[in-house]
Amino acid sequence: MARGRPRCEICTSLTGASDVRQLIALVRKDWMLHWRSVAAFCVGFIALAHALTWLLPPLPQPGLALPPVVTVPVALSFVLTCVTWLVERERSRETFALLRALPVSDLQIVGSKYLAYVLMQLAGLAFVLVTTPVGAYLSPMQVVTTFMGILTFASLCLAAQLSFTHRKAGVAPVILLLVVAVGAARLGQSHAIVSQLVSRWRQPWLHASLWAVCVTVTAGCLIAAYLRVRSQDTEDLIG
Amino acid sequence: MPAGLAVDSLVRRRGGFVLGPVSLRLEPGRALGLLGANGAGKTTLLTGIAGQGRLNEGTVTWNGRPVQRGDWRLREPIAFVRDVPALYGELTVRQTLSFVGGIYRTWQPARAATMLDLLRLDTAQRVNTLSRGMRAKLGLLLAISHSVEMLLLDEVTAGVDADTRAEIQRLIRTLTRERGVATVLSSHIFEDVEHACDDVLMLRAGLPVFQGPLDGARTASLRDLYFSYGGQ
Repeated sequence: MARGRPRCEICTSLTGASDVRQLIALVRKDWMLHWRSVAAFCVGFIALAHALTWLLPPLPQPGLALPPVVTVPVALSFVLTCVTWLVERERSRETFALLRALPVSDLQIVGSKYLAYVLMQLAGLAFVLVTTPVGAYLSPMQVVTTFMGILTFASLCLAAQLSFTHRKAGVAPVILLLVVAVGAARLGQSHAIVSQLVSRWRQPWLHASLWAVCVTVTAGCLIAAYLRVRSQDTEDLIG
Repeated sequence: MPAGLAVDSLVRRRGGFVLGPVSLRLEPGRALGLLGANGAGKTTLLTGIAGQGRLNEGTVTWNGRPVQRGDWRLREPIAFVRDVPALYGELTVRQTLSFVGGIYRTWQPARAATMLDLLRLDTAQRVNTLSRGMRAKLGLLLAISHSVEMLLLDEVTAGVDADTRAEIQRLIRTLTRERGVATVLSSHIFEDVEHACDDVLMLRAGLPVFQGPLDGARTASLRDLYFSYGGQ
């Protein structure tokens, strides 16, 4: 009983139409629970953007409504907030116990959380593209790279949220955000690296490389989150 | 292949608490009542049987198949209902049924509809507006509207009114005797065990102190028996 299962769950949990149906049911449930909050966040962001555009002096770059010092923290806080909604809600209201009593694998649970977040981010991106002039200063490839970078951060947050319980679960993504911010700030101090990145920001190979890194890191985070969830008793998962 | 539930020398350690060793057998169509004070180990035993937690020693099998933690395919025939069913409060009863129905491969919408009528649940009502008794009934409905073979109920009648309790007791009896479901019911309430169960297992400080058939024992004698084994 205490030993692990001899079969590979990754191979056995997503192999049939009913497994996909279950995944859809899980994602749909998360979407039904959180779509209002996502909509409120997006509307709030636009209100903030308009307020800041009105308050801040005009930016030197043409077409740029807000400086990255505003948009990047907002995007990262969107990630943190959505992942916290998706995971902490299940933990604090003990609905992880319901999920664990249903015939779905831990892989499906983790996968559904990630897919639900992807949908949230797609909705957020669509909203931003429609309501702000992002398309004027970012090419489609750059939009995709930015989108994947944010998704990668989301997978890191998801892994952090699922790996810890109690207060650590709430604090871990914030620490992660600080580490990313400090890393970015240190990188920004190196003019040589920044100028190289800026000069190659339009080259396809750079984007292809970044996509590969994003996919690898995301897969690693999701596998780590799944292994962590799988190793926990339901009582521990609830915390 | 042995039919039903077989628990052999089950031991679970959680923090400073040790459950077991516990061994028991339960055939399909019979109901076992688990009696014990708070902290006696009823929930720890049920979560161990349900494959929700790690066993330190021993084995649990259902129809000869080992119940292992993480073996999610066994959650189709084995349903586990907690004392206060953890449900999504923002969803309506209909949305909850739609979600859970989308998960079970053997979900039977007709049976769910019949149970909705029987238990008088309003499908348009939000789950967070349901009373404790209604939530207990909804949790039970979700657990039995598919091809369930074993039902594990953890104090589902705690904190509900007498009418709801009687309704749940009747439902358990029907499921056990007419559908052949094996049921394990943990409860503080002697009447629940007397009315719904065929066998009883009494736990005290993690150890079984009495195990046997009820044989129509009356509540008073069950209570005497419980206290004679040091129940509190």
